[in-house]
Amino acid sequence: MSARVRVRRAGTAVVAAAVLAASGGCASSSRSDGDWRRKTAETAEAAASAVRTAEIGVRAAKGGKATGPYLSVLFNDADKDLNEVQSGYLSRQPPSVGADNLRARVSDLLDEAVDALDALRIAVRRGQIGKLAEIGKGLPALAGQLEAVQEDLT
Amino acid sequence: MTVHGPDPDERAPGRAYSARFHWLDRQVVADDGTPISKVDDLELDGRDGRLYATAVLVGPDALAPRLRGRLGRLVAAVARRLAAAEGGRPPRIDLADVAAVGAAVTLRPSTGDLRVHALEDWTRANVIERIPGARHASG
Amino acid sequence: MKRLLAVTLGILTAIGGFVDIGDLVASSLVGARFGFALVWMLAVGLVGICVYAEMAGRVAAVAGRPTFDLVRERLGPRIGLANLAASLLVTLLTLAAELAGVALAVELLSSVPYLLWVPAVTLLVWLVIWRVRFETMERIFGLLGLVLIVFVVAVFRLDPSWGDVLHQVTHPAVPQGEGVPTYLYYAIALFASAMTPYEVFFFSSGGIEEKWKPKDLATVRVNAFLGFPLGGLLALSIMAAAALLLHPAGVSVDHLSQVVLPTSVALGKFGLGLALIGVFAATFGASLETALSSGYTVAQYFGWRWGKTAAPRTASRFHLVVIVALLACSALILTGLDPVKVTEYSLVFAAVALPLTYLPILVVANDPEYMGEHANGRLANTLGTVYLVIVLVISVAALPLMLATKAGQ
Repeated sequence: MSARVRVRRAGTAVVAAAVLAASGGCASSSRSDGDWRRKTAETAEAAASAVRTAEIGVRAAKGGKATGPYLSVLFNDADKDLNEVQSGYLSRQPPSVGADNLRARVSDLLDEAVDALDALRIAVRRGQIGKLAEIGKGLPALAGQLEAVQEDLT
Repeated sequence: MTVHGPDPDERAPGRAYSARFHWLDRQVVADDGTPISKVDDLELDGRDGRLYATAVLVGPDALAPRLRGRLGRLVAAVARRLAAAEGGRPPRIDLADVAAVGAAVTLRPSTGDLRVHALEDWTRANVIERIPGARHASG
Repeated sequence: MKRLLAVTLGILTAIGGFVDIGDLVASSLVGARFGFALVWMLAVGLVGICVYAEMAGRVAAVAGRPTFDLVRERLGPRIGLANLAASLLVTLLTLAAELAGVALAVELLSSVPYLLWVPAVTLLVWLVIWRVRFETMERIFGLLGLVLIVFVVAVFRLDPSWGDVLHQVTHPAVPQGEGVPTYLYYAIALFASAMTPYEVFFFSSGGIEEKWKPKDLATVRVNAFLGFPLGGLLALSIMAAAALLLHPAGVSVDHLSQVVLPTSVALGKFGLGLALIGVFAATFGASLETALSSGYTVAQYFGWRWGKTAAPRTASRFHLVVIVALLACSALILTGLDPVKVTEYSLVFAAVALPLTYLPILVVANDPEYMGEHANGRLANTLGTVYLVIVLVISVAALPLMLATKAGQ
């Protein structure tokens, strides 16, 4: 992954330099902006997937349809995925000051999602299956917001 | 290459045994169907300007030259390590012991211990027989 | 019942091809990402494995020769060895993943981390191979794997609009937001896993372990034409359940825990429990299949005595290969490697192994010297040739597509 990214960045630099030379100093960062937007959309999509998984799990738990050990693993897997998505996203450098707003919006949503999934995981471990519906009631809205980010960008 | 097998007259005209096609890499089985080995190579003997197959050669020493190249040398080297005590010549099954050639090469019932199983014997004595239950067929 | 018992070899073999751990996740993933748009490829793969399993089984029954025996005999020692290396890598990577898969099923039942279960699972797999009768083994795990039919029930409970489903199946389209290369990559992955080479190795060797003779050709056919479609049905139902529940929610499937989610939603704790038992049995069965297949292929290439029906001391080298394979795979998966990724990457080796496995079967099944009156008819030859071409195309396309899509990401 990192090697590929490095290659791509090197490619970006070459393209940027060529554009810079051709346009006589009127630089455009559209290529790296596009990359950034794509990465952000992918991040929102992957996070939404983890949140939706948890949401379906909560729905099953509410109906008494899933066992504790199963829900524990389900939330744990979703939580792990989400953490990977989050750290992968936050480690990227936004290409311009203009991208900071978007980054802040997505990173807030990711924080919220991580907190929600952590809470679910902890509750299940404590055997509080009955409380899951209450803890997870914000999940659909959260997933909706993440999906909205993705749709805005694609 | 046409090699004359145990009973060439049994073959229909135009359907002579081809060493490559009917012998090489074919499975050798005992008369009850138990697998013995592969035909890893053939021992050939020249008489009256014709080549006659005289024995089936068995084991990595026989196979290695047929693999050619680096792979062949590697197999030969491993084989030398594994069979340090052997005399260096691959084990052989005399063609007189062969009863039939079909989907497999079937040996005659009387064929005794062929001594083509050095690795099997070693594995049995040193690994498998030390595990409880090795003598009982699970079926 | 007797009929059902006669096809357990086919069912167990098919389980390794359609609902082993890699396929459980892949089918669910494909359903969740592409809806019903890849069902056609599952059907294409299913027909292919039926055609070639029947051929391999027929050769085993009539000529008494298992598949890898033919591979070396028809392709020679050098290319045979290349196939041995590639098939063995596919088989071993799959075995490693299956051991983890059994442990993952137990984790979902107990919430104890799966890595802790891997050593016990490995020992249990070996004990079954060492001590349990072949037919008993195949009946227990073949029939228990059929518990996955709970996914079929779940699909009905999810109450799809069938007209819509039928339309999606018959008018497949790449969904929005997915690239064509990714779609093709998953199509190839589905096909390659349906026709994965260890199935014919296991099926033909199992037939010889069961002492099939020409008079058993009816049994061979029932196994091929009933056992494999049952496996395909299970894969289809897993894909459909994901397409109905996870696809609309935009969930992308990476874990076994998500694969069984539809049974929980549709059928509750009882359905979930059955699904987990089914997953356990299927992955355990696939472990047995791949562990035995590694022994079968090596022993058949070198001409050693093989088989679990005889006392282990009479087939020492075969049993040693199985033991070493189990130990190595167990060690590999204990490093914490993602078991699902492991099976995805085995596709690279399948590209080499697929054509080099199916060509010798087709050639020998046509050879009257082996087959007498039971040589291939026109239908088997037509289908066999068509599928050999498909297999060739796929083996050429697999690697570039894998690199281009970063294994479907």
